Amino acid sequence: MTINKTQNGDEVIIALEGKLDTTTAPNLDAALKESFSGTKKMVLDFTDLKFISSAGLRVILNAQKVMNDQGELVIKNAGPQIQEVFEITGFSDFLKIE
Amino acid sequence: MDKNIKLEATMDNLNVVTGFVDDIISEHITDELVHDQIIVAVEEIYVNVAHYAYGQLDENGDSIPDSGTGPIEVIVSDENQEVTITFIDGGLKYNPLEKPDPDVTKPPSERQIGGLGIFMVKKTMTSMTYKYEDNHNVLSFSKKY
Repeated sequence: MTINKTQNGDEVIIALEGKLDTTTAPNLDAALKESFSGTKKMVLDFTDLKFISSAGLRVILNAQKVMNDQGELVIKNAGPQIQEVFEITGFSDFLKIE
Repeated sequence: MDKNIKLEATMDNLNVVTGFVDDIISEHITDELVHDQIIVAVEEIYVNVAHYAYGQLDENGDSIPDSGTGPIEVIVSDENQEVTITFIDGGLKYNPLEKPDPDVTKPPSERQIGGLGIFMVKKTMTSMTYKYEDNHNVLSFSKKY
């Protein structure tokens, strides 16, 4: 999985390409932890993300908890498998998905 | 016809197993969503075995993650528009289907880590079965396509 980060003041856009699974979730977790400080809006752009497993959900859950306290988290352009996983697990009830 | 692979249930072998399944199912499954659902289901089941099946037990009798390893066999059949994948390990007896489903209505602050993987497999696959046979866990799921 490739992680591309773009910083615009207190907004950070993190674009993922590939698969967010057990193998790659720790890389995203590390990238997000580096990005939380001073960030008011975090955008996860999933345009080029193929699929997500429960390991990826755990990282997103943690990001949601952190951003709840300091701003907002936005998920953009989630594909069919990712949208389905968010629905099944109830993540769609609290995630802001655009 | 069934195809199988036997290997050590380590995290390093996850990509070997998903690659093995991917090669077989990609011959017939053209629906990308179904393909991805199956690959994710394989990961969820395999990772549970790799982390817990051969673990040492803590004082409560629970498996300590990544504290031991052992063999796993993965069997794939693809017949009559249905893929069935079976996982056989000789580790601790464990039926994931007996585990209660996680509460998916809770807000983020009250969410527990874990339990979502098996739940996702239950929800996205057509059927799932477990049996304990000859000292082995035999877990299967099927997906019609």
